[in-house]
Amino acid sequence: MGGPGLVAYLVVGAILFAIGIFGALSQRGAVMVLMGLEIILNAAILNLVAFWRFINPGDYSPQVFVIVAMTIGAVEMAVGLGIILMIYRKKGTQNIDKFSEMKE
Amino acid sequence: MVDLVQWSLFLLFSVLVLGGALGVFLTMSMYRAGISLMLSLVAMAGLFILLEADLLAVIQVMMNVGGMLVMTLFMVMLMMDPGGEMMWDMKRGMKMKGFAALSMSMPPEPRLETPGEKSKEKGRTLSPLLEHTHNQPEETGTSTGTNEAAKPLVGQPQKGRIKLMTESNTNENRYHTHNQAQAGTAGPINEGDPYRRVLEIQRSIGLMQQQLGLMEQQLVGLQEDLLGGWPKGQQSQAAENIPGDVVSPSHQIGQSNQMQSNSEGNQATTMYTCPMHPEVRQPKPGRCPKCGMDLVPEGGGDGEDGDRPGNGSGRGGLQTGSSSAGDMEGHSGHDQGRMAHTSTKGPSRGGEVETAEQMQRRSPKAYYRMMAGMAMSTPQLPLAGIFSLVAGLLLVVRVLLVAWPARVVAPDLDGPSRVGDLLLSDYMVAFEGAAFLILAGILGAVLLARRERTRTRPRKGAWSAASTMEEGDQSRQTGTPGVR
Repeated sequence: MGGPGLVAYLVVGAILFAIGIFGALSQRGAVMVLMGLEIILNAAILNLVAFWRFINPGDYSPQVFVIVAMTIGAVEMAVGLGIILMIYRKKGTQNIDKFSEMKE
Repeated sequence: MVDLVQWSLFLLFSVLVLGGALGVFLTMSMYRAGISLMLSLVAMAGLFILLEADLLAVIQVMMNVGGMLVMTLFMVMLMMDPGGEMMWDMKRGMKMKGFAALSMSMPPEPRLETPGEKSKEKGRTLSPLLEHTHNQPEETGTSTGTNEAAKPLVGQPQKGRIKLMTESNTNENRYHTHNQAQAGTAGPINEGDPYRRVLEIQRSIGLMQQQLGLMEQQLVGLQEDLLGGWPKGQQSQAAENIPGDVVSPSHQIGQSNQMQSNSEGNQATTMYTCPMHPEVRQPKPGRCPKCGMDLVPEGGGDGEDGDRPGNGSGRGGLQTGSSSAGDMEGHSGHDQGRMAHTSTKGPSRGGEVETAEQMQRRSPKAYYRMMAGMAMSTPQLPLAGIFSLVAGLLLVVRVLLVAWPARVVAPDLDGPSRVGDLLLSDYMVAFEGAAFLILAGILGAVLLARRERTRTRPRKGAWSAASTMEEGDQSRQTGTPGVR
């Protein structure tokens, strides 16, 4: 049978993506939303690696793609945390429902 | 055989990945959420190894474990209750059911504890004035302090001493009066006649409590004027600094009045209270000065938005502007310990005198929002769940229906060196661009932090004009005069 195939990894990636969406949509703390985004990013990276392995493992370009994507994810998290910290200093809260400054 | 090993490893890592990702959002401890995410990402590195991308597995572990550590550190800094103990105690005090499944509640603590131990823990309990006012005629011994010797509840008939004011003693009251009728029974609390008598007595001090509540409210307003718009943690910290004789009587009176007003509803206007500190009551919505949570309307609907409890209707779900009940705001780090201390002492020992069901019956909207808040999520939680379920199903079905071309070629063993060659030859621009991105991100974060730090020392020019307000807050909070 040859171990888990491409579809198995893609299914795991899809479920992980759904979990990440759930977290990013439902969580109240800004840091928790960032965690959801991180999970989504990792689901996409898992898909990338699975496709590399099962479509054309001879060419290592997708691995470079994955490295760049991980880097971007790390930078995004750093910048996002910095922004959250600034907002927290201004508003005193981490509740994203309170971040809106529009008139009710 | 190799296939079996591969499948079993794949299943193990997949379960860890998915379980860890789910665990991030189903726990009410922020710290555990970070750890769970770390576990999930390390398990994903295992999946990478199964896919024979070893370099990526190592990079994943290094970057993401480090990243997750930073994230949990941020959470511990920013949030008031990163460990989740406050939520734990609060939920236990409220005896939650139903929605509790999503909010990680515990089964309710049995009420057969000896209240003497509970009352021992409270430093400031009752002011003697109130206690003497409400002694029953048939009381035998009056309590000098409220810390009575620990009398176990079960099997000992207590006289009808009404020790009203402490939070733990409110539960004790029920037992005491209940035991008047049935000596030695310590069953579940039911609203019989002795309880009603307690309510009548408590109603007689309702006016006093209102007065104190108004005074406290004015105090909060004064603090707000003094401290400015900085995080409410400062204000609550200042509130705790105030000598206890101002805060504590209302603290305790409000407890009983809360119990009374919840069942009697003798206010004309809608009073807003804090789910964790029932002594905080004010006629307008806002925030609890003790913990910063949003105030919940006591007497039924709040008329703010159209949230339906538990249905996740699309109309109500999209309104995020309403102040949801039960929010736990983040606070600055230095009052975190104190906040956690008082907060866990506050509602934990039965501070919420009404159970979750009573609150649900009273005001479903506020109850729902409080439940969502206690689940550490926005009120759109069911909507998000449905949406993500649908999205996941669609993705999985889409994945399963496609005939993927798959090759069984195994990649060669010197993958990392090949990747390195690629990075430095074909993808040099991408590699350097990624490096530059990292540099830019770190530089930006450092600049942001530095800008905050130098605000105590004012700078001439453009920055000082923009930052005078922040600087004023900063100097006011830290207590140091602006150095000029």
